[in-house]
Amino acid sequence: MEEKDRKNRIRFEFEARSQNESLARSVAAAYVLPLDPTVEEVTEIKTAVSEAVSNAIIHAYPGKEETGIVILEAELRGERDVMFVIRDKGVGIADVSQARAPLFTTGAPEERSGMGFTVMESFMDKIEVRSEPGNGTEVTLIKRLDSGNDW
Amino acid sequence: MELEFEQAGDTLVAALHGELDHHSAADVRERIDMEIDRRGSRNLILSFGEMGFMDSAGIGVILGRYNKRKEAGGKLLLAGGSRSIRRILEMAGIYTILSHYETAEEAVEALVREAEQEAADGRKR
Repeated sequence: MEEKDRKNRIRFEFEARSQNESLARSVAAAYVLPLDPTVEEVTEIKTAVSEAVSNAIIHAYPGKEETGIVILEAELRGERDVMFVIRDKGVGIADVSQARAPLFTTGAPEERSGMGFTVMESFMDKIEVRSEPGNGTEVTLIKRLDSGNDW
Repeated sequence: MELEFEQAGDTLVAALHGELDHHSAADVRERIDMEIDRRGSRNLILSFGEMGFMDSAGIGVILGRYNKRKEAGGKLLLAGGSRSIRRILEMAGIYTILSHYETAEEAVEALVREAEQEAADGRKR
């Protein structure tokens, strides 16, 4: 098989509405299913994707009349690494390291815990956040799946 | 998200079925608070045994209910839930302020024992 075929890239674009959070994490779970992941791995991926997607939906498009767009991309990297990119075209994050710190939130304290990035970091093997004020945010999540049941 | 309520003495047991995320959190919060007000319950047990998914939005729901019970002089206990749910709670430091039991029944028993102990202490004084 050629390398370009192995990546099996997908792209799922949706409006930044909270009812799409569950749809987005279900897409991520369905994407990894052919790799025969453990139940725990599927849950970790669903949770991390849900955190990133929720962040985009809550923070990216404040007070906009038109609903913004969130994009979830997935691709395989190597044998058992799976990469998810969650991207928005919203307001961006002024201070990424502050946003990633545990308990930091700009949301309502009753509603938000400020633990989203901490959960992503804990459940995935690698996370990268690229953002620029006014130019959107891109969160990359990479997870290496165990060898599974294919041996 | 489907919620199932059951009263045990002055404790309301709220069993959460389904997925607790940012989308469902507001509704879950509101329905639990309304039910507590309606019944006049003192304590609350959140039962996660039938909850298929929770992300960090659940932390806000738990902390908000914890603060309300504390203000009302009651207690909040947690019961059940998958390993990943417990990992999220652990990360957020929830277990430094709240106890988590395997089942709602065990949590109810713990509250009953605690109330008995408090009554006995009260008699001694």
